Amino acid sequence: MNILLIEDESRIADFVAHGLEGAGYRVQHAADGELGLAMVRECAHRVVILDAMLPKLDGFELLRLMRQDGNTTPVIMLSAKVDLPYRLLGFETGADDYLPKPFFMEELVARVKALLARHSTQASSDTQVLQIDALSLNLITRKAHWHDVSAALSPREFSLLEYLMQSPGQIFSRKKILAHVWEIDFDPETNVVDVCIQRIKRKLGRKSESAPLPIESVRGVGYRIRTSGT
Amino acid sequence: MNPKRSLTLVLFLLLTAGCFLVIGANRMSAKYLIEVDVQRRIEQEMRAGIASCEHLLGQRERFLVCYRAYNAAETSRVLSDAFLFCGAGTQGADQRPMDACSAVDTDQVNWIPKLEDNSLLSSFYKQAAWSREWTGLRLSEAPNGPRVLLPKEAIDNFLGELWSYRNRHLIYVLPLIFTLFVFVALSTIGLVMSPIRALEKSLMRMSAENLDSADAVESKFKEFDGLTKIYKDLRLRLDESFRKARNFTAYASHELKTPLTILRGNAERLIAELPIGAPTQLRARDMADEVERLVDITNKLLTLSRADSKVLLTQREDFKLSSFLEQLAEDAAAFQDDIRIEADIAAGVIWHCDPVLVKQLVHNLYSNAMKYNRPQGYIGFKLQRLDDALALTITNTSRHLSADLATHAFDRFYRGDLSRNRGVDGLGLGLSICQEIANVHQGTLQFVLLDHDTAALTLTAPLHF
Repeated sequence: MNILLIEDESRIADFVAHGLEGAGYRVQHAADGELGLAMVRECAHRVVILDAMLPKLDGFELLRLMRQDGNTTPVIMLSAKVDLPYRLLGFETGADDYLPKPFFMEELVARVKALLARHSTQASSDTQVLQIDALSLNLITRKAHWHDVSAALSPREFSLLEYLMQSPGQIFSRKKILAHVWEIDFDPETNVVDVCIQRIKRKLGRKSESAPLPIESVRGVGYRIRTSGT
Repeated sequence: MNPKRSLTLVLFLLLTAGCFLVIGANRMSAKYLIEVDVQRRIEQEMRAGIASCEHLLGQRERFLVCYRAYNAAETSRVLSDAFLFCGAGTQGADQRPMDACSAVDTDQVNWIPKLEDNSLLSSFYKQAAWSREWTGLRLSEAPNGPRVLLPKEAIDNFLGELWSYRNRHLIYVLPLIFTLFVFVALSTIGLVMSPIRALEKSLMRMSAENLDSADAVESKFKEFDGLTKIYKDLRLRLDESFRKARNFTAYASHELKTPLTILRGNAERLIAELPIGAPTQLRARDMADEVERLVDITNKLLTLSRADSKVLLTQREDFKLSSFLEQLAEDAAAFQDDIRIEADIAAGVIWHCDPVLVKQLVHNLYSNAMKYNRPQGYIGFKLQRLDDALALTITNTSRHLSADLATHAFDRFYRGDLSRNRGVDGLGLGLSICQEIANVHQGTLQFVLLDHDTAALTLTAPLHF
């Protein structure tokens, strides 16, 4: 589970590495383009996370040289430039994903996971079911299981649960959930997230006497899936 | 109303005055010079003619025949009828009163001495006698010797006739002359005004967007080089400052993104690491929320800066506007309990647009409608299809609508007095972004106050552009 992070801004590299390690990956870090290219050529990585603007060797140029070598390692580009032409340039050069700065760490983790799933030849069935302790979510049938109870979820409920389950333990703010599940990038001052979570809890908690659903509301902070370790 | 004079008119009048002055001077000088010239010429012709017909001087008719034969092609031929012969023999005696001959007295006449190569003795010119002016030649110095006299009146009449011929033709030529003059005058004025007109045209076309265009004014005349150079420099300097102003926001927004990434990353990390539900975690959440506000502001400024640089629109594709609005209205009904949602959405409207921008526009309008709403208020979504265009109206009740909102709603950083007083979250950039988005889709966004507490925002745009 080896990820190479090529990022010149040490403070960004710091929390990205920390976040990725928290998600169970091992991270190598290169602080400039030349070093990054050398490390890409030296050993194989599962994923390369590449900043677009790097000293010594530009990110786009590094990617071009890397693809020229025949290296097909999946690459996620990070850039402050969100304009479509830059994103297209990234994809044309051979990037697999493009994440504009500032980004959320869990989004980067989710994209790394998605990339790895897409590139792994085995275990395709693994990614069809999200499993955290006794809670599981089937991504194909959109059915959730909690101990002996199972329930079909509405599209919003499914999307919300999937989002939380992708980063167990991570606290998501209401705004983030609204942006991901309802695709609105502003705060409509609504309690709809609470209502939706209550509905999921009701659906899965009816017959279960063992334990409440591990969806936790942290007052004023957000929501998360509690894992057995936290 | 307009007390300013027209330069074209002044130039035309000046040219007209100049032209008439030239014509007048030409006529005056011609008249005087021709008179003097004709006078001298007649004298020469008379001298030569009389010299060669001297032997016939006594016989008037025969002399005149001889004289006319000699001066067949000359001016004085036609004047010879007016000749007065004095003291010359008897045959064909002059019928005119002898008073004339005696009046032209030798004593009173200042005879010019005879020329060496001429048999004629001497001549005089313009001697007033018998109340007329005469030109005279005498063949001897004897007091009553033969003399040939020509009254100046005859010459004047001859010249007068010539002038009248000329004037008669002038009447026919005058319209042509006038037409030519007007043509020349107008083309001259046009030529003089053309560089100024070109400058004016270029200035009219000039806007913040085309300052660097090659469409600068070029004049064919070196006299305007200074002016066009100043204009060009001015344009370039303006372009430079506009560019700097535009780029500043873009650069500033980009520069902010790295620290924002770090802030966001660390704030989220802090929240994750702090004990669940601890007051410090709550404070970290507040901090992270403020970071999100900064991210939002930065993105909005960047959007506006891109709009100013005319690079806002980056993609076009068919977008199912009806479905999007239906979903939004449905969500809106779920989001708010105390706000009534009314939806009247025409089905199947597909807009060829930039979906990312259009979503942003609709979300901005909706979030305004929601933010400024009052309890038990309502929000109405209405989508109509008008031939090849669409009209989307979002109507909402509001806690308070200030009167100047209608005029300033789209101003950047303008937030009605309400938002300042009640601390409503917002920067006053939302509606100006919406307007920019409407503009790049060749649409318009209109704000209308319907009531003391109801306002409507209407977007109209072509379905294809």
